[in-house]
This record gives sequence, structure tokens and C-alpha cells, in this order.
Amino acid sequence: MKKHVYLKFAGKLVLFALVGAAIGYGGGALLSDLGVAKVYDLRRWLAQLSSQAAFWVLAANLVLLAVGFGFCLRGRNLGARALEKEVDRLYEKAEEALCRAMTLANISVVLGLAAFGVACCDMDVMMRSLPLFILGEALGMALQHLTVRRTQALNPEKKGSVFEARFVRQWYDSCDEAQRKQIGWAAFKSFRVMQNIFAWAFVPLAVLGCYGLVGPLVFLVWGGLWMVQVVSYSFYARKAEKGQIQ
Amino acid sequence: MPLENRLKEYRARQGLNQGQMGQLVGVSRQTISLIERGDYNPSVTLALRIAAVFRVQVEDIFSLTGEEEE
Repeated sequence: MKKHVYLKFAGKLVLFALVGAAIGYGGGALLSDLGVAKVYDLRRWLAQLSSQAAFWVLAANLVLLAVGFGFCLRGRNLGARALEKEVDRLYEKAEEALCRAMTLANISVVLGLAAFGVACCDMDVMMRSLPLFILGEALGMALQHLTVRRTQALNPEKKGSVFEARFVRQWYDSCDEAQRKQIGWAAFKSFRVMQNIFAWAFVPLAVLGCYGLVGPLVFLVWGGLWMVQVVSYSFYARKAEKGQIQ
Repeated sequence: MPLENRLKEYRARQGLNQGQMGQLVGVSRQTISLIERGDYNPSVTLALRIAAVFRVQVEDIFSLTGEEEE
């Protein structure tokens, strides 16, 4: 390996160490200036603000779902025309619309859970948000189900129902070599994205930790999730090396 | 080296649509579409199955672009 690669790496380490030291020093200085009570006030205010925002995020989630249902409808209509006329381009357009519908359904389910989790920090907001949360999750599941059904109408070889626990496994088993390669590529890209996010998330979390705005639990969750990803990847990579890909 | 194919041409000659072609070789319509667009290089097994459908050699359908002819 070329010498400049080591120098560049060492330079980055020094830079990050200096930035970390500056943030730590700044955070400590600010904390001593503000006093612990004010930091706790700020923390409480941020918690209230985010739980209030959670209600509106849950409302916006319904708009996202409406767009998703629009894509699903478009996919259904294009799919019906594709099946009737046997035009390859129509199949591709129908599948594209259904793919967008599924993406929005998946985002909506996660967004709903995250927003409701934040809303739970405030009992009043939680009670107001509960109907929106239930409606959003039910519609999200319905959109996933409809999208899968429409995709199965276009590709009868695809198996599984979103209401079954083994859905992802059944779907994967019904994929052929090209589709499995696509799934593998997408999973690898997703793994890389998450690796970068986990690594970079440490910096803002550490800064917030210095200011007393996040507690040790956040670091335990962050570390725990990253650990699960790293260990499960290594475990399955080892199994794959032994030819145990099933 | 990219792989070129004449699958669409052979399929049209036989009057098969992508779905029917997929059924004959045991893959999805989407995979046939991907191969025709050059977005997926099939496995050796699949290439042999495709060639068998048209009763030709694999090289008649698939070829490396820029390959020097002897």
C-alpha cells in the first residue's frame, strides 16, 4: 500500500481527535456557564417540542399514504393493460408504480412507529396521536398488502402474504437468480449505508452527550443496534463461506 | 467485457412473449426483460436452457462485445 494512504489516515485521526477535544472542551465550558438546571430545562423543552411535532408527523404520514395508494392504483391500471395487451413496456411501468407504492408504505409504517414513540413521551400528545397512529399503521399494512397482491397478479410465481410472519422468506424463495442478485445488491448497499450512518451518528450523539442532552441509554441503543448488524453480517457471511446459503 | 445478446430477436421469431419465454426456461418475465436490456448476465445454466429452447448454440444468442473473431 502506498505511504500517502497511511499519512492520510493518520491525518484524519488527528483531525477527528482535535475536533472531539474542541467539542468536549466547548461542551464542558457551556455546561459550567449555563448550569445544570438550565440544561435540564433545555432538554425538557426539546422533548416537549418533539412530542408536539410527532402529532403533525403522524398527520403528514396519512398524506404520504394517500400518495402511496395513488401509485398503487396507477400500478393496478397499468398492470391490467399490460396483462391485456402483453406489452413489455407497460409491465415495466406498472412495476415501477408498484415499487413506489411499496416504498411509501414501508416508509409510512416506520415513520408512524417512530413518531408515536416520540409522542409517548407526553401523555396528552400520546392520547391525541393514538387514533392517527392506529389509522396510519392499518392503512400502511393495507397498502403493503394491496401492492403485493397487484405485483403477484403481474408475476404469478411470486408467493407470500404480508400478514404471514414468513412473508419475506416466502417472497425470496419465489425469486429467480436475477431477482436474488438484485436483492443481494440492494441488501449490500443498505448495509453500507447503515455502516456509514452508525459511524457518523457517533459524532452528533457525543456532542449532545457532552451537553447533557442525551443520556447513556441512547449510546446503549446505538451500540446495540450496530453490534447486531455487524455480528449478524459476520455470522451469515461465515455460513455462506461454508456453502450454507438457504 | 459486456455481454451482448440476441434473445429478443430469437423470441420474436418464435412469437413468444417475455412471460412465455420465462415459463419455458423457468424464470420470471422480469428476468427475461433484464437479460434483453443487457442489465443482467444469465448464469451458465440459464444461458444453456435459453439456447435449448431455440435449439441453437449458446454463442448464437450470447456473445462478448469486442471479441476478436478468429
